[in-house]
Amino acid sequence: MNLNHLAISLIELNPENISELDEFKRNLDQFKEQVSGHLKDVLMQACSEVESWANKSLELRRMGITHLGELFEQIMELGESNSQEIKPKSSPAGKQKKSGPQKFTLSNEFDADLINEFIIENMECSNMAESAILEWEKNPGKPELLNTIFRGFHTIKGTSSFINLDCVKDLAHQVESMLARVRDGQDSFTTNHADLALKSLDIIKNILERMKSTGPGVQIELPQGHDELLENLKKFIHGVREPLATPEPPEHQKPPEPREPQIIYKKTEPVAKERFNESIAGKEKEISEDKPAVVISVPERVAEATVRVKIDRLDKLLDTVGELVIAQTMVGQDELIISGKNHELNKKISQAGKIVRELHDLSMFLRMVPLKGTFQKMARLARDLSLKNGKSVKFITEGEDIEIDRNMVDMVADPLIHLIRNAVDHGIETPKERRQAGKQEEGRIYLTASHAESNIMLTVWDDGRGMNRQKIVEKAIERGLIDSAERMTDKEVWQMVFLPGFSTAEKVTEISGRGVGMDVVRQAVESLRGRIEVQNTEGQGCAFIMRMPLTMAITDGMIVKIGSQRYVLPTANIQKAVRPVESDIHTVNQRAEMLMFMDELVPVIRLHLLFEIPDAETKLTSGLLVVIGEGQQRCALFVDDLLSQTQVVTKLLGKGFNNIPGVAGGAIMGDGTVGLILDASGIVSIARQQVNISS
Amino acid sequence: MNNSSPAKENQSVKVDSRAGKYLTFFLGTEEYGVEILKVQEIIGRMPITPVPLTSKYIRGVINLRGKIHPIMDLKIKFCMDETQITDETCIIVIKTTSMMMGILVDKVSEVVNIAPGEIEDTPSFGGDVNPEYLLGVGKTGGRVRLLLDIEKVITSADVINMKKAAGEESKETVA
Repeated sequence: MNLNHLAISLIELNPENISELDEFKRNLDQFKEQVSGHLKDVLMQACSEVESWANKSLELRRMGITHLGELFEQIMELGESNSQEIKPKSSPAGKQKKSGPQKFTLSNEFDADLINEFIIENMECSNMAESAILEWEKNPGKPELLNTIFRGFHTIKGTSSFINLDCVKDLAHQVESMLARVRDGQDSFTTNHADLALKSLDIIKNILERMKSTGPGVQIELPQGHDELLENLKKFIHGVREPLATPEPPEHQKPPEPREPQIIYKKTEPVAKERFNESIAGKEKEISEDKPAVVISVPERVAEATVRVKIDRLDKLLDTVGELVIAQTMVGQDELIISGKNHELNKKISQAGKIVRELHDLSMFLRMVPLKGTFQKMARLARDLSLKNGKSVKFITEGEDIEIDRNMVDMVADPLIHLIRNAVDHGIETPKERRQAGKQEEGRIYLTASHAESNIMLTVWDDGRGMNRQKIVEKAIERGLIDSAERMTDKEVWQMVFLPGFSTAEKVTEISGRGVGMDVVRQAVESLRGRIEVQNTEGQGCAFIMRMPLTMAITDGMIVKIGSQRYVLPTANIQKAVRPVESDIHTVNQRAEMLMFMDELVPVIRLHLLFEIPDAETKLTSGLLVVIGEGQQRCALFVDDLLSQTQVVTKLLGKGFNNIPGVAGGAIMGDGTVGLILDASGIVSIARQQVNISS
Repeated sequence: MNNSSPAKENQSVKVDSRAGKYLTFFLGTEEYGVEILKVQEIIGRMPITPVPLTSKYIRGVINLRGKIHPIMDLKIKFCMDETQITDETCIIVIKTTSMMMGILVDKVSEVVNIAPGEIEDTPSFGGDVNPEYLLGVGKTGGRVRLLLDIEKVITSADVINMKKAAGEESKETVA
């Protein structure tokens, strides 16, 4: 008996004749034992389907046979493309499955590009499913959400079976079965469902991450907990299933729906999107024989058409457009043009100038991506943390469509994680405490994004217990940060949590209720050229407001002159610029110069000495002092003059030439030369080191 | 290749790998060569922005079609006098696997093909250049050219002047 025989007997099968059906099933069973790997799985599906026919109506049986026919077609196509699989016990998939459950190998037959596509696509699916699960938890009644989750897992299952990635496929399959029961009303939704689904996504993502770093043909270790999770899923499905007596034989994990296997094993489809659409179709139309028609009838699922572009190409485009802008400016400033004699030429040039600027703006937008992905991660974090801490938290996000530079996306996530962890761990009280305080039992954490001028404003706000002034003050005194807080405003007190050394470990957390690594948060925000503020009402909650530029690519700055050199000092760093008079300057130990600034002595850093610029102004009163930084980090930079305001595109100073202290990067200036962007905090730390060494 | 040049004096495999086309240039009166395959382009002099707190032989950075590249003064690196910028001064942009860097030279000379037999091992004494930076000495047409292992020269560059950054030099000026 081989596949061909089976296929022929299937065609000849009479659905009305039960004994014929039994005979066919026996043959199928026999054949199943001869093969291994993926094919075996497919045949198992087929067997269970045939088995279920006995209880079904004639009509359903007929349809079932048609489906089985399609299934067979696919198996045979598969067999042609990969004849190894058909040969009993020689399938690579089969071997790896048996030899080591903790490892898997990607077959060499797929090239790296295909695998890469697979990883990217499945990552997207995982993220989509994850956000849908979180949403679903809040609105279990919405069938669209369930369908979205389904679709995600389905695509993952389909594509991973396409590249014989059994470990992912099995997982996705089990989750799908679990969800199918909810969808079909056999189970009602519980948090356990969401938990298991989320955990599976974690494992799948983990596997994908591991695949990213290796190529085909390399053995990859399965992440911990994979098998365990698979078992749990199976148990869970069975466990819930038992009390609900159903007519199907107990060895199946899911109700036999003829349409499922048909979709799953459509391996020959090269484009996953097709499958994607089909899976929707499978759910929307019960059973359909003319598939192409169904696929077409499904409305376009991809909301926005996108193209993936390699980042280096994009950067090259941006560089070129930047150069074009400079070239255009140079043409515009040519004597011939400025003289105003060629009116027509002037018009043409200004027209070209407009287009160039527009092109420049457009190219800047290319780098922007929405915050959605980041917010989704935070939602997940808040959910897991609140479950772990036994707190009831409603996580509300707003403004997730706001776009920021793609380079910043990951950097924004770090401070947010800290803040949300703090909010859940320390901000939100336990339900009991909340009840006693007369609040709603369910705590709320808002994560919002909005535009504020040319900046983006991110706010993490919770309605928990807030920060306690007394405790913060005590801590600050204990740490020697202040002597007394008598004259301090509340705002100044809250700002102290960001000081380095204010909090180092949990010990502080217990006392202040806040402040785990707030210093880290501030640093992260500052490295994004942003600022962070606190608004706090004791007992009512606490809000952290971060303002940062939309993009790191463009720096707003002032051009400062030091001797013959010009530097760009980011506006975000500048507090104030003062032209000092003699009485403002104080000299300590005849060496360290200090500026009296708002009743405070601020150390003066002579940039011309630090940077060894010989032709610079040396008399403080003839130059300008630019006050930068906050609190203890505050310093006054001595420069010759501030020339003008500018917006520059931040660039790296060439490969292997970064991390120069005091320099944040370079920029192409209007005249085509390179200008250096100063790094205020870097300068302060160099100056400090020097003082320490010399004193 | 080894067998095709039997008459030459030096025939080790090592020598063969050094043979090929070289771009030659002058640093002062000495003529040097870099493998042509490592050369991205040659550009005339252009404004160089000095970068503070970097080593002395880093002259600064330039804008090359929208990308910023560091420029090394080879003469300072090789303990000669600082390069004086003249009309003949050129920047040779070198591309290695890890980085791109321009080197400042007094004058670009020519592209020569140096046969295996025309290369001698670096003498371990004399000269300004650390022998570690040399592939060998090329002798063609009666001229001697020092063949640079430019990748080594560039990657060995301590870009950041650690002493300056730590303030040790300024300490002297302050104290």
